[in-house]
Amino acid sequence: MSFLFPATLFLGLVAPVVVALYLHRPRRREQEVSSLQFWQKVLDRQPNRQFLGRLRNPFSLLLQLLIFLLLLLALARPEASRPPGGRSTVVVLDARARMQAEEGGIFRAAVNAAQGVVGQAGPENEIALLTAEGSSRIVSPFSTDGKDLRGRLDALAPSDAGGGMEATLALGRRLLAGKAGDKRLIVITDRPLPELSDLEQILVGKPGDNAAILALAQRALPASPQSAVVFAKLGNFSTASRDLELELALDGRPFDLRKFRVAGGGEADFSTVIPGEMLRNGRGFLTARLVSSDLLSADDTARVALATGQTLRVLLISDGNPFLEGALKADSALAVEILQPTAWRAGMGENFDAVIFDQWVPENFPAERGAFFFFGRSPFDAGGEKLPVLELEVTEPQSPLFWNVDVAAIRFGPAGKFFIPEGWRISRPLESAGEPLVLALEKPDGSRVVTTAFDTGSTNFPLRAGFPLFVSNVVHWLAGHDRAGEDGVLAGQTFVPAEGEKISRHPLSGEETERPADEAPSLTEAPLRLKKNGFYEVRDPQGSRWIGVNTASREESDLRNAQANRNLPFLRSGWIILHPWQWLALAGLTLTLIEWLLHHRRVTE
Amino acid sequence: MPPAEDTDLFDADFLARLERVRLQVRRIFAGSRRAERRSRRTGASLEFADYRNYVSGDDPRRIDWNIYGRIERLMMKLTEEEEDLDVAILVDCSASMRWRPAPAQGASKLALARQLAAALAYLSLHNMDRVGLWYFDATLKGESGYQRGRAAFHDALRFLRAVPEQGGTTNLAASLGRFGRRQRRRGLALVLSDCLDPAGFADGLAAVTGRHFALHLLHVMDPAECDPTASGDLLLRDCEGAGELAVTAGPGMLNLYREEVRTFRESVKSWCAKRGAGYSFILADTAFDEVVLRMFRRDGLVR
Repeated sequence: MSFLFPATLFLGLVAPVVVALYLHRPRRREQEVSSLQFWQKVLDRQPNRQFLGRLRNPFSLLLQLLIFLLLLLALARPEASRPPGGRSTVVVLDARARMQAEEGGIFRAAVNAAQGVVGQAGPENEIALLTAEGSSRIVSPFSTDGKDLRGRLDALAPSDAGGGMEATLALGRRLLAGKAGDKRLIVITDRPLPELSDLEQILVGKPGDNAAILALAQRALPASPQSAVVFAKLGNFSTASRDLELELALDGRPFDLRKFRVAGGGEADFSTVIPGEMLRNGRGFLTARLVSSDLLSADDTARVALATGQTLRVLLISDGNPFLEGALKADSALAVEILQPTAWRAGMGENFDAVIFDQWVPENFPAERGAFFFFGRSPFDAGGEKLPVLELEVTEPQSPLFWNVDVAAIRFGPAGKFFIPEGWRISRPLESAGEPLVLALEKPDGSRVVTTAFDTGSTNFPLRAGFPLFVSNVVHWLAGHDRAGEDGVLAGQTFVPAEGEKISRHPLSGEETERPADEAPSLTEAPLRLKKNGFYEVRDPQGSRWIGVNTASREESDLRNAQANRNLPFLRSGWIILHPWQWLALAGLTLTLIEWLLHHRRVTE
Repeated sequence: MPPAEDTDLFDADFLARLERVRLQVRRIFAGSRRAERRSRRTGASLEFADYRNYVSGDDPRRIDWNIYGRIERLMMKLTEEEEDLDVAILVDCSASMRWRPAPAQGASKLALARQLAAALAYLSLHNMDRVGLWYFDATLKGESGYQRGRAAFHDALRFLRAVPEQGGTTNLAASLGRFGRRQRRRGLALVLSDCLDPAGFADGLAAVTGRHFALHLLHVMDPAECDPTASGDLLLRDCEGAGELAVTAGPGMLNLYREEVRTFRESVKSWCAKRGAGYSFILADTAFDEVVLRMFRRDGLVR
C-alpha cells in the first residue's frame, strides 16, 4: 500500500480538535418536568436503557473519529501496491454484428462495461483498447488517460461484420508481451470464449430467438443471360417453428413477398428469376428483407447487385455470314454493326464492346487492345494439316462460353491446331483429342480473345440451337459481363482495388439508389475494410460496378448462445468501478449518516 | 401580584349556572348552626325523620293529628334538623402545580385548581356552609378561616387571588397532616392537587381521612404529563428541585412512561375508593364548566 499524497496524513494532528469539538457541543436538550418520579420508574424498570443512553455518546465520538480517519485516508489517495512496471491492460471489445442485438443495447452494455475498466486507467495502469469487428482494430494504443479512453469508447459503433476473435486476441497478447509488470487481457463480448488462464471475460449478452438471411446470391439465367436467378437461404435460430416473410425489392421498389414456415433451428432455401426486362434500367440493386422483426436487424436484410442489361455494341467484320449475323440478332442486348474486312482500320475496336472477325485476321492484330472473337481463322493458328475431330470433350463445364450449350450432337470436320502464345491466361473449354477447338485468352491489361478452330463450313454447329447461345456467351464474356463474381461479399472483408480501381468508402443502403446531389462519393484506391452492409461502388476506367455487402453469418445470427456474467470479472478485478480512495470516502459518508441517525437526529428532533 | 389568568376566576353567567347545582356530601356531620345541610339532629326542617310519643313539655305544634285520628295516640312528628357544614378547600400551590410544558403554552394546573376552588366555595356558601380555604405545598401557606354566608364569597375570591409568590416542593403528609391536626370540627375536605409528592400521596391523604373528614380528591394533571411527546437525548430537570435525570427517550420509553402514569392514576383512585373518599381526575386543558357541571356530577360531588 502506498499513498499518492502522503503529506495529507499530517492532517491527523488535528484529531484532538475533533475531540474538543465533540466535548464542547451541546450534550442533551434540557427540559423541565413537573416530576421525575415517572421517568425514574421507567429507568428502574429497564436499567439497560439508561446504560445504552450513557453508551451512545462515547460511541458517537468513536464514530466521529473513525469518519475523520476514513476521510483522511481518502485524501491521502491510497493505492494498492503494484508490481514493478505497473499494470498493463488490453481491453478487447467485441464490435461484431450480433452486438447490435436489442437495438444496440448489448453493445451499449459492452461499452459501459468497458467504461468501467478504462476508469481504472492511471499512472500505474495503462490500458489499450481493441475492437474485434471481423478484423482487428486498435482503437487506442496503451494510454493512461482515462478521459481520452472514455471518449474513444463513446465514439465506437458496432459493425455489421462477423468472423472470429482469434486474431484480435493474438494482437492483444502481442501488445502485452512487450510490457513488464501485471498484465490483463479483458474481453467484453456477448458469447463465452474458451476458458483461458490469461483471459478475463465480461459477458453482456442476452440469449434470444432470431431469424436471418444467411445467403443471397445471383447468377445469369443460362437460358437467358440477361435474366438473373436469385438464391436466398433463410435461417430460424429459435426452438420453435416460425413464419417468415421475405420481401424482395429492386432498386428500392418491392416486387415480391414470399412466406415461409421454418422449423426451429432449420433453414429454408428460396430462388426466383429476375427477368431481363426488369434489369434493362436502374442500378440492379436487389434487396431481400425479412419483414418480421427480431432481436438483430443487421441480418434481416441482404443485398446483391445484379448486372443491368445495357446494350453491347458489336462490330462484325465479315464478307457475309448469315449464321453469325442471325445468331447476333437473336440476342436483343446486342447492337451489331457489319463491315467488310477491307474497311477495317486499326483502333476501330476501341469503340465497341466486342469485335468479331469472320474468317479473317487483321495484319496488325498483336498491337490491338480490346475484345476480339476470331471465328474460322485464328491469329494463333499453328499451320499445318488439319486434324479430324473424333470425340468432343468439354473440359471446363463451368465455362461461361458454354452455358446452356449442348455439344453432344455437334459434328465437326477437320480442325486446325493452335499455338499457345506467351503472356496470356488461357482456358480451353472444348477439346478434341487433347487439341483445343475453342480458346479463351485474357491479358492482364484486360484484353480478351476467343478463337475457334472451326468455321461454319466444317461443322453443323451453326444449325444447332446452341450456336446463338454460344455466340451470345462469347460476346458477353468478351464484354466482361460474366455474372460470376458479382455476388455479395461478407461484411468485414477487405476489398483490395485492382490497378486503376477505386471503391466508395460509404455504402448505399439499397433503398437509396442515388447519393444526394450535394454528396460526392468518397472514393479510395487503398484497400477498404467493408464494415457496414450496403452497396459499394467500384469504379475503373471502363465504368463502374456495385458490390453488395451482407452480414450473412450463422455465428452472428444465432443468439441462443449469448450469456451475461458481469459479476465475475468485477470481483476478479477488485471492485473496478471505484478507486480505493473513493471507497474510503464512501465509507466515511455512510458512517456519517449512521452517526447522524443514531445520535444527532434524535437530539434535534 | 396574581397572574393575568387569575383576574377573573369565572364570569357571572357561570355563576348563574352554579345556582342550579348543590354540593353533595355522602356522610352526615354535626353542624353548629342551622343551615341547609342534613344533620343527625332532628329539628325544624320539612324533611321527615321519625315519630315518637308525646311527652309533657313538647311543642304541641309538632303533634301529628292524623295519627291521633287513626290510633288515638299523641305522636310527635320529628323532622331533620338542617345544619351547616365545614367545607375545607385545600389547593396545592407547589411548583409542580404551577408547571407548564412550555412558558406560553396553556394554563397551569394551579390556575384550574383555583377556578375549581372558587366554584366549590361558591356552592358551599350558597348552601350556607362554612367554607375555609388553604394553600399548601410542603406546608400550609395560607388560610382564609371559616366563613359563612354568601357575602363571604368575595373574601374567598380575594384569598384565591392571593397566590403565594413561589411554589415549593410538595409534601402532602406534612401539609395535610398539619391541617388535620388543627381542625376541631369534622367536615368535608376538598383537596385539589396533582399528588406528585416524591414521598407518596397516601400519608397526606390519610391524614385527612384519619380525622374523619369526608375527603374528595380533585386530581389535576397536565396532558403533557400524561402523554409527553419530547424525545431524544434529554436532560430532565425537576421543577421542584428534586434533581436531574438524563434519558434518551424514544417511542418505547414514552410508552413505558404513559404506562407508569396510568398506574399512578389507578393507584390514587383505588386508594380513595378503599377509604370512601371521592375522586375526580381532571386534565388541565378541560373546560372549566365541563369539569364543574358534568364531571363533578358524574363523580357525585354535586347534584
